[in-house]
Amino acid sequence: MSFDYQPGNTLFHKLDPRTKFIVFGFIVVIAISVWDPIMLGLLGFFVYSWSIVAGIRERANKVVIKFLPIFAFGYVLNIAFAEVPEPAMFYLIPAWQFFPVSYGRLVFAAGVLGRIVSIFLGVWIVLVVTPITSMILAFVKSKMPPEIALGIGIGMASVPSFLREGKIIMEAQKARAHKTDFKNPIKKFMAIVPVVIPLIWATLRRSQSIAVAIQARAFGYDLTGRTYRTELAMRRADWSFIILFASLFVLVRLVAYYYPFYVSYNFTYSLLKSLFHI
Amino acid sequence: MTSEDTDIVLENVTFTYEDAKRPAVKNINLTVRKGEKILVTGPSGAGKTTLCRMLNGLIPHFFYGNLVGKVVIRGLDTVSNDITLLSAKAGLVFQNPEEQLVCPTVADEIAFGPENLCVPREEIERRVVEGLELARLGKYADVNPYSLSGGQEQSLCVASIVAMHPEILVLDEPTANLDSLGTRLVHSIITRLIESEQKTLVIVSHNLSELASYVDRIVVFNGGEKVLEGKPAEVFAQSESLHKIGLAPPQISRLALMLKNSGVDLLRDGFPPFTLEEAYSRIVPLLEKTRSQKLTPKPSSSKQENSVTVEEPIVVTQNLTHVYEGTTVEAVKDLNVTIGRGEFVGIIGQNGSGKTTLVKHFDGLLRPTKGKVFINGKDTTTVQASELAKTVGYCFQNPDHQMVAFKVRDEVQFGLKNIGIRKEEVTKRTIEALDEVGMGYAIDEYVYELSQGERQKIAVASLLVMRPQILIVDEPTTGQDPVTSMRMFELLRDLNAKGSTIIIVSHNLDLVARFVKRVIVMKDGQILYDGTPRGAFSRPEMLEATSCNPPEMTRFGQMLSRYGIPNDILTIEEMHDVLVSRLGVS
Repeated sequence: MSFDYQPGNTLFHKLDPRTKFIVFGFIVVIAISVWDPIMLGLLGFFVYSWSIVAGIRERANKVVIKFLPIFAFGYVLNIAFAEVPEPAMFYLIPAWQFFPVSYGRLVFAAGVLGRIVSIFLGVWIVLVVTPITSMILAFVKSKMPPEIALGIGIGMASVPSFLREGKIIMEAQKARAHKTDFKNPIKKFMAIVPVVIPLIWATLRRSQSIAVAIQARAFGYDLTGRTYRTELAMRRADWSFIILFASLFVLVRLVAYYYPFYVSYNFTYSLLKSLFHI
Repeated sequence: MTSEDTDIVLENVTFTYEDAKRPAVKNINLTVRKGEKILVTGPSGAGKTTLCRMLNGLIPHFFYGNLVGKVVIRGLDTVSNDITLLSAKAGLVFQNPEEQLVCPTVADEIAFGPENLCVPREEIERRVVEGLELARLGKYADVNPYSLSGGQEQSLCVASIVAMHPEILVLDEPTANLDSLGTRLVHSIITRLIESEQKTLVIVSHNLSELASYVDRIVVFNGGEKVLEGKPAEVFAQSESLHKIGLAPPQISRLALMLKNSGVDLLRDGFPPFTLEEAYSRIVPLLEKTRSQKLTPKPSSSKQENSVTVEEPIVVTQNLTHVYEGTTVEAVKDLNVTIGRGEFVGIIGQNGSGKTTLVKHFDGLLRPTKGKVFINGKDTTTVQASELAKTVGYCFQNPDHQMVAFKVRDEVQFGLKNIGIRKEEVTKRTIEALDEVGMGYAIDEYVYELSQGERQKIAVASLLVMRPQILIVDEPTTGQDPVTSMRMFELLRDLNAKGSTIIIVSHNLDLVARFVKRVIVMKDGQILYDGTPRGAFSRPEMLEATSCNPPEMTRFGQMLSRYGIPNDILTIEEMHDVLVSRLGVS
């Protein structure tokens, strides 16, 4: 399934889960500091390149394709709600003068799309290369109370379970003449509504089972004295990654402070204007 | 008995889950000696799982409620001791292996418990090696547990708990979700543990035949109470009482009790045998006496007798091949199957043999990679799944995957609303469908307050309401007690008698043998056999190749074939009649 853990021995698999979370945190902060589609596109490509290093490129391609309708839906919505001070070329709903479309809005929405895809890919890669128990143990090592660590870990583990159960439930509803295979993203979204009840039920049960299984294996018996077959520890690669992303973050913030034009959508927009004489 | 001799003590224990109206267990008194092996059984909802949860402190520390009485595990009161401490004393293996696996690799899974218990690294490695050996997963140490088969997953769960070195091992229906191959694997591990370790063992199971010979005592629960307790033979002697509460004693015990009434005594000290070997040793001397009279074994049914003639085809597959997206393996290969209107067909085979893949083509949930599937003469690729749902009803293994509403009425009506049926007709059909499955009383009940067996019936009703000509039921007996399973098959038989075409996918070969009229045996995506159940079950080599166990009576007949007993007997009644006639008693 799309979000299930994939075992491996790559650099990304070997990183301490804390490093993965910190790096992901930097990605999020960088992504929300920038509005420029080119920079966000580069960030997205950079995050995507992790999937190559982690040996999960094919899965990454599939998951992006699978979520393409949602990304497209988000793009269209952002065109409508973009705060771009320029007149509309036309309205998608002319009768109400609603949903204005302009070049600036298209560029702005492309930036937001880049942000969404970067964050989505970032969280996806972290989930796929980090087993749930490592996540929980990493939280505990970071002095987080075990109950909270368990809760967050199980919350994260419920994402793949949610999707797995969702697929089966959709099939079960199809067998009762419920249509789900719409091309229109709004109809597709509405078709999901009847599967919400069984999905929530199944996910809650699954999450509870994982919690029970972990407790039944004496998790929390003695967290300070716990031993490790493979010790969770911050190694050189972990620190290198953190320093790299911290530097990138500082760089982006400096650019944003001194040269705000380059991180706003106007940078790409003005490039396009000069290239295509808009 | 002193407290040093006992591992588990329950004194007048009653437990009511938070928000529950009734207690899950009532007034339980149970003492288990050190090293004792007990089998706990009972119908669904009897309180067995609640008992297991109490033994390692999940109750009251994880599942909250009102606990009255005293539960003491190796001298530790479960109320005043932490769950992590208790789980180190009593290791608990659950029913569904997929819900217990939390680590990235098989080796890590085994190590997880010892790591939590602060075992030194060298010792952890030693236990990992031991665990891999116990679970026979030596080759899979670095593999993701989810890529294992169901039986291997559950074996891993057992090994992961054993690696914690608990003094008490509690197995809650460890084979309920497994096919016969997985069940065999897990049973072999359990029997190895029983034979080699001095641990106290509590096994919860509906499967009384396989494990009874390894345990010292059987404890029977019903409605939250302990209703029967004793050595296996003593308990099985109460066949009628067990049947009344939804349990099925081993068929061989029931046969012995039936034969006793007909004048053939296989009982010893008033107790029936409960293994085929035991029964064999008791009946052979009787058969030997009459051996000179009739020695010709009845040949198994001929090929011609075993073939099934199909009239009025309703499902036709032509060279059907399916390859799942992202894989290269052919899940089903070049299949040609024709099913006639009004047939009752059972499809059997191991997990991964292609059973579900085949039937999912019948209602358009899957499309052929190659070949064609016709339903009522229509090519399924030309019809939408939602359209096919009017003709074909597909009942999923887990009824909860189908439930979309809170109330039974809304649940049953969901499909009808999807196809735009008039309101009055919807109400009429809802009542009829619920009556048909015997659930008319529950029309205004909340779905999630019903038992799993009842929800399974609601799932069937929600398909019947669409009046499908074909009803496909995928593994309806998984996790169900024997009587609930039997009732589901009876329901399907009644629907078939009214004209529905029934296709059932099941691992429960005893019930398949008893009810269906045609069996399709699958292996590796291909059909090994297609004909009568009698023909299928009289071919032990073929069944062995698919790791399917023939029904108990068929196996007994095959053991006795040199005494002229047919090798294709399917039911206890048949075996009874054959033996009575063979032994010349009236």
